[in-house]
Amino acid sequence: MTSALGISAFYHDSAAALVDDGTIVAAAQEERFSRRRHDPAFPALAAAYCLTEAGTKLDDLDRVAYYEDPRRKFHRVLWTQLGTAPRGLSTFRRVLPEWLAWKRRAAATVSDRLRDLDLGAVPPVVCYRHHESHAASAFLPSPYASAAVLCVDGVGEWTTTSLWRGREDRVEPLAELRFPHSLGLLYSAFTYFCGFKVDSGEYKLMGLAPYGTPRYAPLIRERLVDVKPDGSFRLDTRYFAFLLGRVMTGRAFEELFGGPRREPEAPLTEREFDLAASVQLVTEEIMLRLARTARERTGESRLCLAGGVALNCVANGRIVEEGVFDEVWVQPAAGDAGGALGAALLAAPAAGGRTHPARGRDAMRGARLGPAFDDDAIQRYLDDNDLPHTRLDPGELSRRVAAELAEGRVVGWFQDRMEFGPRALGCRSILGDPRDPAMQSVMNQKIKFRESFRPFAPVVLAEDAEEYFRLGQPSPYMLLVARLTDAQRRTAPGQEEARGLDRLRATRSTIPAVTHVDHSARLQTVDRADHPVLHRLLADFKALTGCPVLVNTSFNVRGEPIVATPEDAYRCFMRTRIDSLALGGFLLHKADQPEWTESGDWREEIPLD
Amino acid sequence: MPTLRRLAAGLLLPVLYVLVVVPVGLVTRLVRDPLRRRPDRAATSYWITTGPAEGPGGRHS
Repeated sequence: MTSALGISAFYHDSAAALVDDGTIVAAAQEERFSRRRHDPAFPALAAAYCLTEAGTKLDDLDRVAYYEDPRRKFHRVLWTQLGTAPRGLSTFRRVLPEWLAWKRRAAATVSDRLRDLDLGAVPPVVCYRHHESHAASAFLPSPYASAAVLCVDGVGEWTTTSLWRGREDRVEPLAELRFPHSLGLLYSAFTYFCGFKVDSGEYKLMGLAPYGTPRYAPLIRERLVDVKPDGSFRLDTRYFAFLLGRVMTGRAFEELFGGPRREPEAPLTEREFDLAASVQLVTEEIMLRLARTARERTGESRLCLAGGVALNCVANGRIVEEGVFDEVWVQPAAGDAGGALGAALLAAPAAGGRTHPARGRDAMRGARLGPAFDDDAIQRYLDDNDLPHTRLDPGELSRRVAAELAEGRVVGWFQDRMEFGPRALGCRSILGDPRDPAMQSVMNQKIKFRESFRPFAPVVLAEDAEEYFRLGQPSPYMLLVARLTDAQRRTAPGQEEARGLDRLRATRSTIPAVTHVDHSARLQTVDRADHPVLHRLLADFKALTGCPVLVNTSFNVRGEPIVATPEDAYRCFMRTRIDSLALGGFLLHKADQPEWTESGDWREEIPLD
Repeated sequence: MPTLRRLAAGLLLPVLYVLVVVPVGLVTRLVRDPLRRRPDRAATSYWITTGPAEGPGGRHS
């Protein structure tokens, strides 16, 4: 029996994960504790949490598993310098000192920082390759005994895209594509060009795509990326600036797409809609070809996905829709945070092999791998702060919340262990009634304080999912997009001609708040056995309204990490127009709460995402 | 230390860049572009096969 602490750090989305004999005990991202979104710092707080959750000290662990190989990454940095000379002096001056000082020895830094925690002697640090960590996180916890594995991201050491075969308790490499040819970086270049932040605004670009027409797709295929029939591709790096510095695109890119990039927060124009639609289409085409190649080369009927591009749930949905594989499973922490989990799973495999596939289940515990707060702890918090509340038994709480949702109230829902990965899956969520056509704009503007174009996601009873969505397989982690069934669609007169953001105003379905303008939805299906508390709430809401769907968005405001503690949840509840807060077994109403005062404007303290 | 680092970044690194990185980079590229930056429209595939020997396995540091 072996146990390991996995660490991902120093780029973005640092995280820690603890695995004991192949079982995932705990996993969390540092941002939730430090309250700094996508925190790249060493995950001291997340690591300490994992050890506490496991009731163990560093002494008791066999290994620390680091999610990438710093020496190989340094090798890539040096070769990039040789490849770009004489034009890369500014990058050379910026990045070389930190690489020489500590980054090439990141594993030793991890060891030093763990020693600083004062939680026992640090076991040996083992480094795995970035894509190997992703591949392990995709396959080992998946519900499949064997599968094809595809990892697609920005870049790790050299690899940007990799194909593996997962069998029993290991992943075997088959083929890869290398830096600078990266689908993640292509998508990020467009994210940057459309005025969004790289490494977090990709989601916005994907949400923007259905408003546009893909009129630039031929240009992208012809000039920016050469895609072969087997899905392998190369970028023409003359059009990109990421090899040379901090920005993603330069003058050549601007000339190709009609002028300079959109400035952040400037109004969105037709060009951005169409650029988003175009790069999304090309991304889907590449992902489909990669998936077909994965199927051909492995002969497997199931696919596991990880890497940042696997968070592109629209592309994932296309793979499912086209029937490339019989079934697809996506690691919920598909980005770099999941690398910590993959590395830990590699370092501490189960002595008896993977047994969960035989039971037809994945090993992620519904991604509920973070800290929980029991009712005693919540009671103490409420009493210490004199916060008016009602204590209810679980059945009564569920019925009361369902009734409030049915009346159009917005409810903060804080239950169970915090989710691992970027999505809130019904433990740190804000919920609402999807039938209400005004709900999308209310939630975007008065609760999340974010752009009006951004869609919301539905959470649906697994047993009723087929009635609403055309998917044909479970989507427990909200990483697959599906089309609404015809029975649920509604088309208002004149709706077909509307363009751009005008398309938002039309009622599109029986659940307009969670139906995107192209009748798609990023779906979470809820199975009773996997997620009993959320399942009960959905069933209670259905009993009242006939509708088995709720709006589910992460419990935070724009730019802020998802809430972790009851205190975080209460703060977010009071800062926004959330009407009620279900905190474990307690229900709080906004009208009963003491007046909320803060020094200064909290909106200014949270950076825009 | 900060002064030393500033000195290194301000003076030594540009010298190192001009005297080492630029010539080595230019000569290397005469032989082969390490980044393979241009698409090869005639190629049928860009996949690089990774065998088990090249692939997995943790490395102790």
